[in-house]
Amino acid sequence: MSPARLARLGRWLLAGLALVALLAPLLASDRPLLLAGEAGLTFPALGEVAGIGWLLERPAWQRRDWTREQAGERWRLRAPIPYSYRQVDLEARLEPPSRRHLLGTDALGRDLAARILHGAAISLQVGIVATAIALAVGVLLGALAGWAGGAVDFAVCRTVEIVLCFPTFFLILAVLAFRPPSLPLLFAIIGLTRWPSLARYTRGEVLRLREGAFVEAARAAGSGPWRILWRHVLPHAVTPALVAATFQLAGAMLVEAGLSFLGFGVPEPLPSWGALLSQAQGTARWWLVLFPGLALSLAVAAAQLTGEGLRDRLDPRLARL
Amino acid sequence: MAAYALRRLLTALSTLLGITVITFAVLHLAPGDPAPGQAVDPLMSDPEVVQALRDRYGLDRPLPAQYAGWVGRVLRLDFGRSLVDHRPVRARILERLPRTLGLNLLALGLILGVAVPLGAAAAARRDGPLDRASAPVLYLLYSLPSFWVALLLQGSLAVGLGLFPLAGLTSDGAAGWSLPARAWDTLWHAALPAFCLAYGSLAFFARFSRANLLEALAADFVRAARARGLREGRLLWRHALAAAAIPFLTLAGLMLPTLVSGSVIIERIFAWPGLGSLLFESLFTRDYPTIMGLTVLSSLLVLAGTLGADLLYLVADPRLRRPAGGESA
Repeated sequence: MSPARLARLGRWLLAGLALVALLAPLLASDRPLLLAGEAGLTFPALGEVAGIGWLLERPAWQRRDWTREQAGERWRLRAPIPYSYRQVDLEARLEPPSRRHLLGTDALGRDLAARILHGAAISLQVGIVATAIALAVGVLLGALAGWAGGAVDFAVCRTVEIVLCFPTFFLILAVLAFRPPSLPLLFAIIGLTRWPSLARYTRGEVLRLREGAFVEAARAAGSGPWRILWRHVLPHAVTPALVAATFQLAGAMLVEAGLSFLGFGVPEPLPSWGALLSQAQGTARWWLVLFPGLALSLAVAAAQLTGEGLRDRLDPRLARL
Repeated sequence: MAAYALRRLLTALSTLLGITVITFAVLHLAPGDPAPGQAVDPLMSDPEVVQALRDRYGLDRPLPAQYAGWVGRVLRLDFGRSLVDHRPVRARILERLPRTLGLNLLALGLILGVAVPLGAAAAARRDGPLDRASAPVLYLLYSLPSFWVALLLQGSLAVGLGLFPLAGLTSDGAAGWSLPARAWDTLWHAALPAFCLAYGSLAFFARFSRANLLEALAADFVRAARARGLREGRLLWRHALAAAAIPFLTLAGLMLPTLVSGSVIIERIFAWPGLGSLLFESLFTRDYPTIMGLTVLSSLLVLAGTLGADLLYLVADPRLRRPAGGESA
């Protein structure tokens, strides 16, 4: 396949992944999507979707009394995968893939397909937020270093070298040993160890652009130095960092998976892909190892391919790497 | 030449300083006092004991003074005693160091030994069968998470087919074997972990060396050499490879942190009793002195590796050996 087609495939995969992550509470839920009962139509599964609580202010929609025993049910629309990620079923432990459980069940009888779908949300969330933090810090420091020069430049460059020299995984684990695990901590700590290369790219671009004629023109027109940096230089200078950030997305997802695999990542019962693989280790059941790993590889490959496509398009000079 | 080496050495020293500052900061993230045993030991409810410990560890002194004292101990490689078995952290680390170092060197050898020839062969016949076939495979390898591949290989090759040992450093009863037999046994145990550590970087490095060699092969000096009638093989292996050596060294230096980081997971999966496993055990027992010692020491190792790569530039690039004023890389 040609690089351009591969990149398109990567973009579609990534978009699909994001969609799955957003819709996971509707794709895999033990609650019906639609329930027609005495109180009229209700949407029990919607209650699990994050960020739309305001939609649920109508009391009828909030109703959670959706079990079979409830009187007056006329019909219901089930989710495609009618299990939630934390629904334990000890009667169905370690079942291989079947019609009932498409990808099988884990040691507690939880549906693997549901857990992988919800894992997409966790993985992507950590990847995106951590990369956004890294991008913000990296672009800011890199631009500052390139623009201000002198002592600021020296300080930023030394810091970049120091952080690049750390086996960051050791550092992250050391911090996690001292602090209880939580999603915000993961965002921050993964993000704060991944900015140096982004700062390097931005600094290089700012250095290259600061002598440009358009900068001189802006100065002649009376713009102050910070306005020139923000309005004229930075929009051109972020391109390499943006491209690199797409690769960082893949890296951040891998780090999160690795941390969760070691048991220092996303706290239970949130189903991170790394945690799923870790739980699979003791059971020696092929489906528990194969499917979460496939999902993770696919997500990483999607981000990589998207990054390569972006780079080829925006920055052909880097294309040889 | 001396000026270049000195400059790199000074940079490394300032990096070392930064590493200790960051590690010290992480140390002080610990909730409350890092005085050992505070959570479990009933003695700690006695304020006199607490005060004695604070004096012992200098916790009442201002932070800069504490930092200076800590750095002084670190420079003597004195990381205190483990909270688990009260042995010096240095001894615990040193007994495991050769195993991790050996595993990483094996991985590095695998990476360079396979990736450079593969990249060179692909570059020599651009768009040839090997080039076309290897590109997607390398791409795929690069995207597969190492701990997943480790689990798959362990499940198939070790458990299923019995080709490799499941985990550990040596076979049962290996202590009584002859030296070559023991060495082979350990190597056999190291094969799967080393491969899992290496393959991702290997794929990246192969693509990288192909790209760099293609660029070198297109350079004027190669065309001139070709015009002089040099054979293609000698062109590639002698001239183009020498020109591409600097980026190779840089990348190999940059790969070290990744390798060391990766060994935490891989060593745990294959129960390889190295530094990664030690870190993992220490994290679970909250053995702060060992954790801090490992963090500093692993970054020291990486720093040494990077410095080594920097100094190898001198071998690779004759321009650097000229007195000051020469073009610097």
